[in-house]
Amino acid sequence: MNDFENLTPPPERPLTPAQRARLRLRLPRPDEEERGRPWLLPAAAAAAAVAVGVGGAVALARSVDENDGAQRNPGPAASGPAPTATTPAATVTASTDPCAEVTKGETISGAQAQLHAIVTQGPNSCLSSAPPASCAHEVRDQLPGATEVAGNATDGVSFWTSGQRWTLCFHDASVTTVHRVQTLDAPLVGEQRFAFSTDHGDTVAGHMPSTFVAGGPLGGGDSRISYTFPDGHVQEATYVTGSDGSRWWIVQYVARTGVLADPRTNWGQLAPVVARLWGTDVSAPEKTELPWGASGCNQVNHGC
Amino acid sequence: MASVAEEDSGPVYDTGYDSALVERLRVGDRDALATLFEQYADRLYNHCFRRLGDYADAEDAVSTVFLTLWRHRRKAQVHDGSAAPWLFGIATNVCRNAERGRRRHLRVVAKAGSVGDLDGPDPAERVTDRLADEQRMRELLAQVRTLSRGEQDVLALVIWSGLSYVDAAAALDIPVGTVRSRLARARARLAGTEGAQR
Repeated sequence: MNDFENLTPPPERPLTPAQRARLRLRLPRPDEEERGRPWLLPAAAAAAAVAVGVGGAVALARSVDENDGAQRNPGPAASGPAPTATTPAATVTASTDPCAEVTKGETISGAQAQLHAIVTQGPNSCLSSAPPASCAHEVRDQLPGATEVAGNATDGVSFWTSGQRWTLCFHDASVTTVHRVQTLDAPLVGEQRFAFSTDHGDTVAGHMPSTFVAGGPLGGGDSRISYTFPDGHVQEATYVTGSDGSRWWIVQYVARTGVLADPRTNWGQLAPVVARLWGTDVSAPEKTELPWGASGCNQVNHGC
Repeated sequence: MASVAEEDSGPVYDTGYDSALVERLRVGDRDALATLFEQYADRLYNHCFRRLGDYADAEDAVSTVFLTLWRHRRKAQVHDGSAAPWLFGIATNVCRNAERGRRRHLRVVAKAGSVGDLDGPDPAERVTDRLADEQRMRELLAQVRTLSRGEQDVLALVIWSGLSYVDAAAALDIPVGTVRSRLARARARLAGTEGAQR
């Protein structure tokens, strides 16, 4: 064993409270399978892709190891993504190198964009170590051919459309966040309409700033929208008009202190955010509760 | 260095507890998932760091490990009452894929001529000792990459993460004898490399 002394790695480090908090937030939520996050399906395909790659590698490794002559030990490694390795999605994904397709100024097809979305989830991302890209770049991956129709430079929020499909992009110095793509002619309602993205900043002096963003097209009868957060903050929406005359609403809140900026917060136990929508009857807003797990991770180009 | 499992009896963990946890996990108990996370996140984080040489990537990898194990919870396994082999097996696959993706990314970025800007740590990681650790780990990984992929896996699991031979075999779904032979080959190959460098 002394032969490995020169390979002594750095001492182990525990996860910091902020890291632990981020990871807890990323754990699967109770209704995830039923409702599904938009990136779960591609994530499954990505897992299958892992299996294909790993399966091949393992097969090669096994062939090399056959001379060992030892009894095979039924183990669990293949019990991860391996069972899905034969799905068509896995085959397609494994045979493509989506990262090679990410080139400035290049237009990518819908299928390529989908593949790119697959590999931009978490650690499998070919872009995971990159700094925040522009909205133009990130939106292109989720909604090819989209153009910016409205936005608020102060908030860093912009709306992008391609035909009847649209998405929201939020961009600041540390992150670019693209929301799940929706359609204008079949708008989502309730929780799905008001779902918001969550981005955590770096912990400074014990605080982990968290940015929450929501937005979408303003309905004909909508007169006002506000969000109430568990820390008591009420955020009124702002409204912008698109280049085509369309009206859009934006809710953005950056929590810098309190429970929403505390790395120790157990997000699963927080009270839901409450969205209020006023129509023509300004005395009776429609309330929608937004559970953190199901409605607080509306981004599709990175984790929560 | 992590405790070394030269013999088959590696570090001892609270294995009986894992059996009950995995049983609950199989039937969709999210509290069991949360408990497994609390119990293993640090170990998996360090394991992934030692595979990737980057703390931020290791954090992302841990997230994917738990997403993967939840999706495949019905196939969850315990070995001698421990979930560690199954978890480390998933982590090995996830980190391997992450490493592959990152290499692709760096190739693309290098073509764009801006690798210097993109290869740096994010602001939160600009802490001297963490950078030093990452640098040290990357140097080690550069040496280790002279080994075959299978040898690297065994070395990382047994030498760096302290799994027993039996657990490493279970994690990689290979025979125990293969773990031994890979480790022996790794030892010989590294000794040869070292000798050649002198």
